[in-house]
Amino acid sequence: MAHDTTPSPAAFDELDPHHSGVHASHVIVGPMQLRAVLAVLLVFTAMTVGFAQAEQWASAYFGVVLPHWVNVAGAMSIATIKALLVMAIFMQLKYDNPVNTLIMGVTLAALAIFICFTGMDLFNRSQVYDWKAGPIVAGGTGGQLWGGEGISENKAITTPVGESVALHARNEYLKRLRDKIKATHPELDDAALEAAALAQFEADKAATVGHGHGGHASHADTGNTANRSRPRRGLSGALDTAATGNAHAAPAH
Amino acid sequence: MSGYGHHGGSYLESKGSFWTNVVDWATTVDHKKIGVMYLFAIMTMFFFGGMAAIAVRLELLEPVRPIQDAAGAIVGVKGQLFGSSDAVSLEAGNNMYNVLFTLHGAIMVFMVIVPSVPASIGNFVLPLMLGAKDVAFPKLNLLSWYIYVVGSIFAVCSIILGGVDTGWTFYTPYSSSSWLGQPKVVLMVLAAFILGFSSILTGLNFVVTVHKLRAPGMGWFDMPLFVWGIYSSAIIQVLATPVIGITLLLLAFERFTRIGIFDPALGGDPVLFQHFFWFYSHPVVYVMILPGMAIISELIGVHAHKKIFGYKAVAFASLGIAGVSFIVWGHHMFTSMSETASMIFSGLTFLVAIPTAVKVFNWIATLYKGSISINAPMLYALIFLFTFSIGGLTGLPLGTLSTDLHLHDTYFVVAHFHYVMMGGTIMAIIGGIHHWWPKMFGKTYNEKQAMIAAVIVFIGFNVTFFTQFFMGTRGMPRRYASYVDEMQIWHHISTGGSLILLVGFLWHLFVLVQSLVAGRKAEKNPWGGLTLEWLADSPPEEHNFPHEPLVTHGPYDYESAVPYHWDPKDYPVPAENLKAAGAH
Amino acid sequence: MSTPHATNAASPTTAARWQRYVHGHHWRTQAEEFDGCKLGFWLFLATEVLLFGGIFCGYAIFRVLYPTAWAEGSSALDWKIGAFNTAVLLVSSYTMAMSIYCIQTNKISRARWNLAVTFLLGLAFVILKLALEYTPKWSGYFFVLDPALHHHESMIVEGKTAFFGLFQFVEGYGGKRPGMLFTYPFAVDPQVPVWWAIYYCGTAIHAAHVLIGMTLIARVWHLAGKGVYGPTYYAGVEITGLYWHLVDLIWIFLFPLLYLIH
Repeated sequence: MAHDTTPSPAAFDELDPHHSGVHASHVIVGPMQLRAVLAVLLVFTAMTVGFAQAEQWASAYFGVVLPHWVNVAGAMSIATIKALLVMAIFMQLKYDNPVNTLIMGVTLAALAIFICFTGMDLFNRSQVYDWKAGPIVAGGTGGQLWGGEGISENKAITTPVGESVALHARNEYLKRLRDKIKATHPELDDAALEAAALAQFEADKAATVGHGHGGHASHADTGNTANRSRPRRGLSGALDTAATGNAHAAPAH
Repeated sequence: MSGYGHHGGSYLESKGSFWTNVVDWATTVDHKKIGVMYLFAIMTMFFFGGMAAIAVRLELLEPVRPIQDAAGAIVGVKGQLFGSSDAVSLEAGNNMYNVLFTLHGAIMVFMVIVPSVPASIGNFVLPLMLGAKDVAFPKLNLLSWYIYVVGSIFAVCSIILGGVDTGWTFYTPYSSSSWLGQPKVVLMVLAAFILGFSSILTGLNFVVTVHKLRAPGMGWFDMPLFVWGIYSSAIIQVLATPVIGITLLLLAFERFTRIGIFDPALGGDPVLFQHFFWFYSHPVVYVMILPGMAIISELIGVHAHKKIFGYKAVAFASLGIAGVSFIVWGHHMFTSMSETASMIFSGLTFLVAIPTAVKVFNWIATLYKGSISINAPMLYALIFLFTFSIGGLTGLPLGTLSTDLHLHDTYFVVAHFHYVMMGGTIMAIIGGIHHWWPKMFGKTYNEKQAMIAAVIVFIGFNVTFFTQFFMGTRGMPRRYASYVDEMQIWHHISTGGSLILLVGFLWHLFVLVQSLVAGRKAEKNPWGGLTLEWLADSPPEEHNFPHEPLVTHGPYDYESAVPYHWDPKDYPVPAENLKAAGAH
Repeated sequence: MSTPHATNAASPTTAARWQRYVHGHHWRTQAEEFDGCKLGFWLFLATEVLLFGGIFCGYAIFRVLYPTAWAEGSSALDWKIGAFNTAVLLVSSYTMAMSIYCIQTNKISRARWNLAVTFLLGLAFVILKLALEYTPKWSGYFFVLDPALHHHESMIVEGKTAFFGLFQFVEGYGGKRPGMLFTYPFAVDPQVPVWWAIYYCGTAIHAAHVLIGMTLIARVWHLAGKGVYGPTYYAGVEITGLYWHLVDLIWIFLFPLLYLIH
């Protein structure tokens, strides 16, 4: 061992070869404790998933609609407990130099300041933005910034000004459907073609969206009635689609 | 333990042939060599940034204006010094000006002032002051230098490609959508991103060094105030820099793929970018000034040969500034934020004044009845007190919401932050360079010439920037190449001042080069300082000290301690100190 | 806690590398060096937390501004994959902690097994993410064994496969991309592209951290095989472990935020 300068009259301590007394960082956390922590972490993961599922079942089958924040608060509390466990035991903060805990504390305080103060501005925006609310187009105005110096090669995929990206995607899909139907049924007139394309669009949508990705029923279609999200676009209402004609409101089905 | 016990040569000692020395310096993990390499790299960038500033000032001698034909159509541009001479539109005429001030801002902020004191002087002096052999992670220290160089090369590439005209703040959506298809904005953004890593590594290294490598007997409150200042700014570097990392990363993503987080056309929020940006860039203002203040504490203590008044207050003021720095960033965005947030940020901004004023008052109280030696470092400390106080006090009307609405984006702001950044940090670092020059290179400089240069710099600085307060209050907006005729006289004075400033800096350069070439060998403790770096040789040996130093007195105990290597011929020590020391 | 086992009488010729380790010359003791390394690494972890802080901040802001977009985007994610990936990372954190315990008690071979399992779990995480989440959402191509494929049987485009027939194209599913790249036709909320921007930035930067962590684990696995680490010297493993746990911590928050709360 490299301790040629320190004569050690006392019993040699392998973990503290220079008798500095700084011993805290070499605590051994045993396997049983680690396993117990892992078990608790997995149970908490199951709990948080169960919590989210239970809330959905409650609203789907019994019409019990919990306030929106309940799920958020529950999930985030469980995540915080899990994180504290990982930090305390797996990362050994519990046994470590307290300075390391202080560092994490200060970091989380800085993070809290960051998010809260940014939110303090953006969530109060309506107070100054009412007079600006008119011209804003929901979903953005699409690539109005496309075009100009040095980007001519990109012009082919420009979306028209005033059309949001999402609306553009929908229209592109409808256009493809129209072309496809026209290829097989050239006899249809424009109105019939349009109707057929729309019908096909809704059928495709039902086949795609209804199941999520093998998950629960989508809230997107029923979002407002399930009261999972209030019908608003931002606290200011400045971006409320209703105000701009709501081109996206899908027909009820 | 290895290292101590044999008397090594000076760290500057040649290791053999030229190439052996080059390889030795390029692979060194010695904090002193890395500090010196940083000093040269930063001074090189300071030269480029300064040249851009001079170009900006020269451009402003004449307003850039359109030439119109009889029908009123723009047929050309006049008053334009830089840029294409055949510009036919006002945009083209203004473009070079936009590039120049962006260049000046980005270089000075990211490549000069942020790393300046900690990475160069801090790297050299901090371990010496703590009585350590090196910083905690020497290899990381070298890595941070290379990262700095790589980042600077990215920035230079961006300049070669034509430069960036976004301003150093890269506000979206302009920065994320202008010049799409061209890499130069991304290069500049990545340069700032990479330089952030360098900053983080330096800060992290210093925090661990201060925590773990203090010499035996040196408690937290036995540390020199320089260390307190560097420590506080290192904390900010660690906590704030990653946020600019993610911000610039998202900005680069947004440019490449139009992901729409900051672009309002895609549903994003441009003000969110400003929050992200200023959450870093406001604290980083204190990364710039805290080390400057740290140097001033040393200069005043050593050259007044007097115990710093209110040591603990100054030390805690450093930490206080670091803490407050995280809750005031909104005052950069008063005109883009909600009223609620603006009012709260405005109120919080005044908190900054408290620890700052504590420091200034304590320095002045230290000077009171001190035995002041007037030399270049002390002169710079006095210049700092003057200019920084003006900068600080003109910050108050800018922090006040109602007055800021009139003053924002005018030359008043430009003058304010130059008084703080340049009148503060740059003055401090020049003073610091002179203060530690004998220790760094083992050579004395020509004191009289350096003082003349200091006076020239002081005059040039005030002529350049004090006029800008007048311009700002009269409504001259910043970042314009054109202006109304009434402003021309102010611009002429300001440009004249900037040329005086240039002369002053070149004079300094001359003095320092002359010192390297023909300077006398410096004593170990030319100023009679009590901090540990004056115990080491000038220049220090490879492992700093022949044996681990033991701290037996505080850093400013001039009443009770005799300076290291004290020789009455070399420098004066007040008689009452000697008496006290004799009794000691 | 019990003291370990290695005897200090080992002579230079027979001693393992960890027994011969000499700490850096500027540190006073090896314990102090170890403590300093950990302190430095915690500071680095602080920077990582704040790096992800930008993503979390963006998530919080846009969630409040565009709640229906968030509900719609979140419902397109499958909580089963998210929960499984959470379990994978939690178990990998456990094996990482076990490997440190094994090294502290001089069971080097067991420690290497634990490191190898940790590495493989990290790999599983990344592969699941790429094959079952990113690829279908981005391009509409499903992994042929993906159980979710049968939900979209009517939309399968026969014969349109990729990567040696391992991925099957499903019409109308892909295009869930951020910003201008968004081409998914059935979006209800116009702000959904913002959700996908946050989703991809958050999970991709996290996945990049998983890959970096795997590289570090592979490195210490290799070095442990050479006898570099032992009860008195294991700073490299400790630091790799801290990094890996941080990656786990970030996912502990990303999982409920993205998959569970609507």
